[in-house]
Amino acid sequence: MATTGRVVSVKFLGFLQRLAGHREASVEVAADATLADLLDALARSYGPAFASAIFRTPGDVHTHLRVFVNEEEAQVTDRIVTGGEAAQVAVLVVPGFEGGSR
Amino acid sequence: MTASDRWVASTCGLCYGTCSIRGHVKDDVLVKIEGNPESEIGRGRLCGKGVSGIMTLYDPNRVNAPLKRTNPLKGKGVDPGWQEISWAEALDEVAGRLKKVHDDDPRKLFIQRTTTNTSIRAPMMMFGAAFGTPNSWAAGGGLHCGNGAHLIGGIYHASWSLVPDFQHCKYAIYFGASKGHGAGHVACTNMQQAADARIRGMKLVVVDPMSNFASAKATEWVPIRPGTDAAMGLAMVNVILNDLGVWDAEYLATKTNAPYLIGPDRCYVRDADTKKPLVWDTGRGRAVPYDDADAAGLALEGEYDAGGVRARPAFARLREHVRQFTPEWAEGLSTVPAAAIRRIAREFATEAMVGSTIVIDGQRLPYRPVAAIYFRGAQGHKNSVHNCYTLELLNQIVGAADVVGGALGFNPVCYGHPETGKPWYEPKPGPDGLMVTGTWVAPHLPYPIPDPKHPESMSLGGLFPLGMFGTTMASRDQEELWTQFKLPYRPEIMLNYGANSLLSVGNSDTVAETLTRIPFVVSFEITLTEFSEFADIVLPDTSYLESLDSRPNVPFIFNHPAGQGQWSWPIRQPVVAPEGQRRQCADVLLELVDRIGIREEFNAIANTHLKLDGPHRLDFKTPYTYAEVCDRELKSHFGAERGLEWFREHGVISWPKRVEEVYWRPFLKVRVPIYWEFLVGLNAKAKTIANARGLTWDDAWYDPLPRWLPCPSHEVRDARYDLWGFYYRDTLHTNSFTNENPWLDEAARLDPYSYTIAVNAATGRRKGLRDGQEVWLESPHNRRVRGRVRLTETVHPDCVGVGGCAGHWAKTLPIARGKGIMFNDLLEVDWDHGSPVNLNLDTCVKLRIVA
Amino acid sequence: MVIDLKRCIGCYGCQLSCKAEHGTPPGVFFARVIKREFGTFPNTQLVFLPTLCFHCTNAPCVDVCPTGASHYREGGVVDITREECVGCLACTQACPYGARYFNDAPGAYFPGQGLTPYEQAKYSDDNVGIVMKCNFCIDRVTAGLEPACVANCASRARTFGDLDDPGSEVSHLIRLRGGEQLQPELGTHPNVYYLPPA
Repeated sequence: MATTGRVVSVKFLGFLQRLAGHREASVEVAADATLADLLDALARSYGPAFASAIFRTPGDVHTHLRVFVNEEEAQVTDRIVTGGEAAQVAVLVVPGFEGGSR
Repeated sequence: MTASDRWVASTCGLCYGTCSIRGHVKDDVLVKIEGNPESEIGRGRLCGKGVSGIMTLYDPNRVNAPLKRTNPLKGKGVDPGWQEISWAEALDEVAGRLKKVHDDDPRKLFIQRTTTNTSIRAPMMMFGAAFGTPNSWAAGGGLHCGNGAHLIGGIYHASWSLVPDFQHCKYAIYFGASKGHGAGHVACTNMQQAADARIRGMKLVVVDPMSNFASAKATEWVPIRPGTDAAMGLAMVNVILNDLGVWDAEYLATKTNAPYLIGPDRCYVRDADTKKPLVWDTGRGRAVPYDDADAAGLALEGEYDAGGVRARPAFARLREHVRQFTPEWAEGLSTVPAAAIRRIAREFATEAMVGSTIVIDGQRLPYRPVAAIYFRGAQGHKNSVHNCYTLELLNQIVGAADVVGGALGFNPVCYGHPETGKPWYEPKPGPDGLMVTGTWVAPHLPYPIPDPKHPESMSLGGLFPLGMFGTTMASRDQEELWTQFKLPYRPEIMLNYGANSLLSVGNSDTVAETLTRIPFVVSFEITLTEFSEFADIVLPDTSYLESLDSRPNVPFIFNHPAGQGQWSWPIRQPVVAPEGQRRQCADVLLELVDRIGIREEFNAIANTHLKLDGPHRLDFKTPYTYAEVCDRELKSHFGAERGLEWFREHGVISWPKRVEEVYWRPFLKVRVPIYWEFLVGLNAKAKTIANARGLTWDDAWYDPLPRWLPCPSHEVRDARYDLWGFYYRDTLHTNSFTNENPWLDEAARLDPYSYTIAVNAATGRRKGLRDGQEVWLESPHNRRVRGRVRLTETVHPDCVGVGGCAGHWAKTLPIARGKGIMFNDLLEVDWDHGSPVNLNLDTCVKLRIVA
Repeated sequence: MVIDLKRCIGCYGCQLSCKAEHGTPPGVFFARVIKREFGTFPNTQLVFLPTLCFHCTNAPCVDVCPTGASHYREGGVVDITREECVGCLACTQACPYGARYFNDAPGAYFPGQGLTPYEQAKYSDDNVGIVMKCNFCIDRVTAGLEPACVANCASRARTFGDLDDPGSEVSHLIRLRGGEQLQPELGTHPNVYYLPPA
């Protein structure tokens, strides 16, 4: 991870909180990081149980994963854009259903 | 219409078909239920159940106040000693215990719900997801109807299930299905469409051990031994591909993985750089990635050098593989004469009119007026995956999938209301170009299939990613298996919504034993059932006629008529006000969300799952009532002016379907697998994990090509058990739920089959049985049920058919008690009776009749 | 009325929508579905036969009624004047189709648990001790609606109309599909025709 990055606040919702061991964390990411980069960093920090909860196969995000930036649902390919404000990223696994989206 | 004399538009809740209704209320009393003619769902007409809901609403045995058990001893027939308590006391206790479990390990919450009233699905699943438990199931439903048929429906049609294109199909074969004949998904519209198809002249061949509903209306009934559908299907595929040489080459090459090159390791040969599966481009004479835009004439046959290995297209392998399955071989297993198999295969292949087109709404589209439809009969077995996979290949090889006249998934493509473009979803290509559904109902997508992992759920689901629910949720050997797999927790609280798992899963002794091991059970009920005997707290629910819901149909993928016509999105709203202290479960769940402290999670999930949009999104931190959530969902889909208020007045919104929504296959660039290459890798990975835990493994179940595999009932060697027992869905009843409705019970008592054991007349005479005689049905596992014999010509001589899911014993159900037969009491619920590929429970049993 | 046995799937929608419409007590059915098997395995034909009062042109029930309670209405509907029925049961025995029911006691659908609000609203003491039967939902028809069993039939097996009008849909269906009366040899001339199941 680039040291010239910035800090985003990550909130672990649902059972990810148990796997992460806490509800919130501050994570430093590169200035141009995507949410996928952030997830990679989280998977490295929190170990295999956490990683297998968010990745279907290595590198391929689970269809159950939902990511929100400032309460808006985002795609993992999105850059973490905040408009100058500190980003509040929330990650959540929905182990119950799938939904269609555009 | 006046306040004292009004019609209220709402939605039926007596089966998952959820037809649109309107209730006539006079002086605050519901005096009539009719279909709502303004909705496509039922088109103004109802089945016998639908019009009888009045008697469910006004059942004097309804629960009207929260109840707490005073007798700590739990067991079948043991009186819990119910004591009425206040809602405040009930919720204090429930919320307190839930919070404790949530803060400890949320996986200790086990959620169970009925498949009868499906509108609870969204609130209950959102609650479960917010809580953080992976342990949730629809009791019985998943084991019996879903793991195989819905999986295959999803993989091939992006749909929960399928129906023939009633408007254009000319030749349909049903394998253990009754679509259009009284029950199931969008039952009443299908009944109308199927009747129109009969008059139009659609031929219907029904392969079924019993000639009851669809088979009674069929052009031809083909009696078959239970669980042998794949044998007949494989022989048909063989006849079509190898004897007749009929297939739809264009469809197979462009819409399936038939051209993908398979190496000696049974896996795709992949492009060295992109890792994409290769196909053989006959135009350029070389292997190219499957999605190479310039490829012309993809080979379906032959053998090629590709990527350094000898490889053959998947289709060639399939064609060669099925040669072994001769009609004579299939006859030996299924009892269907080889000549009949050849004839039906020929009729299907001929009627498919491969290559033909038709113009619909100005668009020239493929026309394949044949359909192979499979459901509960083919599905309710240990071998359900291979049964349904095989039968689906009939549609695939002739290209009769989601094209005019063919087998239609119901509504996997929706481009939304013309004014808002919502709801919107369509299938898209996923890994290796294979189709991923645009929207889905079940706990995981049919495809792509996640890597198997060490299981952490009660069902062992992580290790068996093809299964929706597993037997270990309520099996005899659950503790053994959980120990074997080192499940790090045990269920501590069960939250049940209306499911009577004592009757709906398998034998009640096993289910009872699993329930007594759960320390605290909370149940939302409208009446006290056999399940309630195991509850610690019962909460009085509103019935469907007293409830509100913005998505009563689990729209649309689950329950909207297929074919051309209209889209309809109805709501459910209270037709009458709830009596006593009844409260709608969804509202109670929202209160629990706040008390447990999972509002942020719940609101985030509601936003994503309900597709709440723009100003209608929920703030993570604000509490909402269920009515507010419903209002926001409706506004998100249909605009700010069409919220709950609008829907309360209008009941339903409808708009026309587009041809590319109905016959979507030619319009979308997605492929489906005729060869299940992904099973090869899945098998290797799952087997490694399973073997490490001492579980024996049979690779045959993970074969990438379809085969017939025996069920436990096919392997009983004791000749005394000479009959196959199966149960079937009666049109008069929805599982065990409607037995307490006295109108339906009265009709069922007059029906020759509803509450009796159907025995072939000649078989019965040979055994000296009389019509009406009371007998025991006994399984090789020493389980038995008692009932009256009905000697009939409508059942296979090797079989015994039992209708529905009756045989209640609870004193709290005075109408249902002692009526009919609980067939499920004969079923073993353990590892050996489940499928090692999708965890499906076998619901067929070898038995003997004892006078 | 014309009933299409090819369309009917035996869902009991007619039997139960009739019950809901009229609030008939336990054991009383103005409309019923009967299931009957023909042939032997495997050449079996299970037929669903929906029945109701056939509103015969030569109705034996009207002939035997001693009080004139059973009578023909304008348009051919056979009806019972409640006030004039003395419950002598001559008509129930005369009807060859079992379409008439004697309501001997005020039955309840939840025995011993009183009447539901619906039953309280729909049951009438005037019906006790008299004979009841289908009247083709004459009140609905007068109001411009179809009989309840016809309006509700999900497979559209039932068609209601004027048999005397050769241009009506019922007359057309009888000609096109070969509609037949049940047991025409009895000479009752039923005004309900069945279209063949196959």
